[in-house]
Amino acid sequence: MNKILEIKDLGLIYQTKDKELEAIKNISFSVNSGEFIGIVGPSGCGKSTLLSLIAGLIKPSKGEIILSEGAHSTGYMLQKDYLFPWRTIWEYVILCLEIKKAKTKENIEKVVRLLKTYGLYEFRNAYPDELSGGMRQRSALIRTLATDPDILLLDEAFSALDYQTRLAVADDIYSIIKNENKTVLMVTHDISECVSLADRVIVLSTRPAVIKSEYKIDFGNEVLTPLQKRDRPEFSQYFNKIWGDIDIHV
Amino acid sequence: MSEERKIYLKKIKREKNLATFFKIFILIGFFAIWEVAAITGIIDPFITSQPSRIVTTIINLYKQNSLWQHILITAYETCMGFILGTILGTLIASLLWCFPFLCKVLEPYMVVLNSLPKIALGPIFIVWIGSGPSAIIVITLTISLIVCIMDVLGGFIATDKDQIKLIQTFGGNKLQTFTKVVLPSNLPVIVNALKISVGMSWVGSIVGEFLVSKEGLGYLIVYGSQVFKLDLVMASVLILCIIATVMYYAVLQFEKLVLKSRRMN
Ligand SMILES: Nc1ncnc2c1ncn2[C@@H]1O[C@H](COP(=O)(O)OP(=O)(O)OP(=O)(O)O)[C@@H](O)[C@H]1O
Ligand SMILES: [Mg+2]
Repeated sequence: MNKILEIKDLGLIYQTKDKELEAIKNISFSVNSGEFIGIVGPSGCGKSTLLSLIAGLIKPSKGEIILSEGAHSTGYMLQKDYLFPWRTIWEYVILCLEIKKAKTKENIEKVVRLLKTYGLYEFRNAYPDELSGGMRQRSALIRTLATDPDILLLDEAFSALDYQTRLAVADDIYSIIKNENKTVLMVTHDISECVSLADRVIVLSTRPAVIKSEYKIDFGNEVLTPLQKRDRPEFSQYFNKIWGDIDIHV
Repeated sequence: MSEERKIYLKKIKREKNLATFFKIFILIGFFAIWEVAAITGIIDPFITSQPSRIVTTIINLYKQNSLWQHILITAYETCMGFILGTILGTLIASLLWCFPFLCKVLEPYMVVLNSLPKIALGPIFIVWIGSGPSAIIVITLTISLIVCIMDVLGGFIATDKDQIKLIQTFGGNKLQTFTKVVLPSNLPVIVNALKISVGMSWVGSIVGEFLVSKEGLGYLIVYGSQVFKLDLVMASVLILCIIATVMYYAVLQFEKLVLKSRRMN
């Protein structure tokens, strides 16, 4: 397995008018190509900040983020990945190509293939308000995949959905990601989501975030969907271990 | 349909009819009392005018071929005022959003201009521009401009941070952020600013005509009061009521249409 991303001694301090706020402190880990990494941590610990750093939206105060050769782009799915109500699904999924001025025939064909493969092609002229929550999440994923990113960054991508939809959508998105063979870094504060989706879970402490522990998630050799994993005995073992690591004070 | 539903619908319908009845009743009653009071001498029609004389005045204006001219000129000034005000206001708000530093520098001036009763600038514009519709349009525009800038800028600044972040993850620059997210997502705010401007523009055009003009409804009102022709004043006010209402509904329809076409209602 080849390393696609390496994070070395990463630190970030936010400067605001009235104070300095240390969001991330000495985080180091590496990601292999094709891996699905789940990052859990209590809310406000700096998870979104970590993804913003990896996406290059903000500069680290300290440390390095090294993308391996050949890996050059990241695709970001946000906490509240609202589609734009004024754009049809088609206009939305090519938004990125539009901004990068990369509306080549090849790229357009690729988006068409994605839409067709994942059952959204007939809905390409629909507006978001005509689609179900799951369909919208799929559109957001396809928009993210449109530029063929090497690493997908998911920031609580399912948290806007209600519980039942969330389980189904997670299954759906997971299968698309595996199908497209993407490397994923997903942050969430939902332990069960993390255990059911990820190959490896990194647990962060409260702010400033440091790595508290790391778990390789192993459900044996069977291919299981995230929903099936939830029924396994290993699931609750992992859940309990991680639960114990996260400081949650009520 | 269930019995209960029928009763419910009937009740709603009855209430609606009753409301319509009273609306019309008040309108007719008001004019009837006015007319009767004038005929019987309870009020002096010389200073209060009376509905029948208002109607005659309007017919006379129409016969002199000046009715439409007065209406059109005032409507033109008002429309130009709020349309230009909204366009210019949105442009300035866009600039201020793109250059936050400029916004910071200009803030105190905005506050001053916002608190100033803009109509006070009227005579200045008349001296500078002359006594035609252009000066009145500028007065009208000034009244709605600052409020429009502030409303629209407020909307721009409150744009969903995650939507902006999305554009940044694609490597979009500030201009792209503006054209792809900030501007389209604030369409409702801009149309709303337009709606607010309509009311203020009427104040601008009428007061502008009070100050200086040879035609328009505002002119008719001042002229009528100066020569003590209250019939003319009341007739003009009545026409103004009707035109302003029509314009308000037209803008309301426009708002609905725009928002619906962009799926933002
Ligand atoms: N631009 C910023 N300037 C200053 N402080 C910030 C900024 N962005 C985030 N913070 C602060 O940094 C800390 C970490 O924020 P971050 O959004 O990364 O947390 P999170 O783990 O994603 O939280 P959540 O679970 O709410 O999504 C928070 O205390 C937040 O208030
Ligand atoms: Mg977050």
